[in-house]
Amino acid sequence: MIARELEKAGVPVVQLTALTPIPNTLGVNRVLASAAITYPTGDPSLPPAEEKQVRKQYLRKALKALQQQVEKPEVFY
Amino acid sequence: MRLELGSFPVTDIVFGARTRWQDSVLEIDARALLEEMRSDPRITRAELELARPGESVRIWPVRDAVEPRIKVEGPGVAYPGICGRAIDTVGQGRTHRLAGMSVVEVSEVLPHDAGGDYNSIFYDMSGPWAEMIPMSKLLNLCLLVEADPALTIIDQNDAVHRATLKLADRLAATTVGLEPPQREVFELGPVDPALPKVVYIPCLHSAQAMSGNGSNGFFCTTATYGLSMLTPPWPMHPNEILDGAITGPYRIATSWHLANNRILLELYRRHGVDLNFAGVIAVRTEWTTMEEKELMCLQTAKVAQMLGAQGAIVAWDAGGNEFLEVVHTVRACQRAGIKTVLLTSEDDPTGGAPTLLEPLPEADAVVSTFIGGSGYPGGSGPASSQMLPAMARVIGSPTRLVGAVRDEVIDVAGPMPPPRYNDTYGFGRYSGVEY
Repeated sequence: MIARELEKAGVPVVQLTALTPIPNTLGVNRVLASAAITYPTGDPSLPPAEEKQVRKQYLRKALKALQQQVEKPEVFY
Repeated sequence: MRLELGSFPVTDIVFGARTRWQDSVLEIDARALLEEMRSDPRITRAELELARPGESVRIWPVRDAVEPRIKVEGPGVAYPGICGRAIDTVGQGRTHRLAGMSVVEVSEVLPHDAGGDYNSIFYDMSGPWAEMIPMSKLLNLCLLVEADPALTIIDQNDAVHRATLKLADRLAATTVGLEPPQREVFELGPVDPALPKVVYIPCLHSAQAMSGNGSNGFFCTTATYGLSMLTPPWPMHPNEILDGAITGPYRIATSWHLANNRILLELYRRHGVDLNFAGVIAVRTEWTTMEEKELMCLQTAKVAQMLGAQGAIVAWDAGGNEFLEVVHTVRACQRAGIKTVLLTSEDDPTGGAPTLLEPLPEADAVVSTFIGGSGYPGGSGPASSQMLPAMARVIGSPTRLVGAVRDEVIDVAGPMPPPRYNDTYGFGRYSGVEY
């Protein structure tokens, strides 16, 4: 809902979530799939150094997704 | 699997010199029973109070409500597995129940310490909230029970819930050797093969991901034979559930509700009449990845097919992301050729969000048990603007923490905002809406 309101105000949004179907239902245009509901922005099962890389990747993918034109809600992996 | 359920109606509960059931009156020797509760050194408080229908009484905080049931024939014990009870498969022989009453576990002990799940349920015995819940029509024997706060939260849970079950056991034991005034036999005997085979699929929340505790010892929410952890879809005979194999509490779904599941009983009573009740598949929800969620849904549909199901009723207990397992189970069953009905409450549509978290087109037969929640004026039941009335007496704790960060203390006897209510089983006293 926050993502949708931000987009209404003209700010493009990428939503990072493990619940990929839900933002689609709500009309969020760019969704970035993450590992699990309990840790949407990382993966605590990894050693800290590797997890840092995962987090960096999320950020890079998110920034890339933001620059992409979408016609309908899309999930990026 | 044949189970005879013998009902002993309880029309009054009196405190007296002994504990016995006679002529629909349950007499209770409170002193002797409480001594037994207090013999567990972990217990710091054990008291009894009675709440009657229609009284100006609020019970807070309610953790669970248990209908006293006891097995007098056949293997196992009622409410198996939980708090170290025997795990023998139940559902056969004869079980006695005290009908029209419950033992209410009134305690401040939290279900787990991971945050998020606070005690939030209270019962009013009169007024608009009482109108919505079946518990207000029961004689509620309240066990006010607390455990040593120095113990781990798991030990505290074990102590207070064990005391509740012990009390329920003692009360149910008054019927041993007596002839039940009412009997009903539950058996899925052979029926006309032309009748459609129907399965019931209750989706049960697991707090495992929240609590981080996957062990058998963690039972503070809905448990199957004492297991509250995430498990693959679990085929069950409905008789097991009548013997309490699925226990509470999780929010509105108490052990009382689960053993008295109206959908299950209705399916049973129509077995051989207009349907063929093929069994139950208990599905655990709140898996943490979409892959796990989807896998459980596909496996549930597989088990339903193996049971020969042509129709399914899917219900769930509470939650948010848990709805994905629920609605994807509907989709998986529909795709497997099983006509599926979803029983659910609906969310507040204010702000333009759909009333279901993911309204899949496959969920084309929905029975809505409730709409809204706090603040939605078009919803069922009292809106948050409509405070529940003050009550003359409180059973339990006199104060309650509320607010987004639980920093406001309110007087429980005073006007109270309606509780969070997801009556997704359809246990409430409101009628459903069919779409």
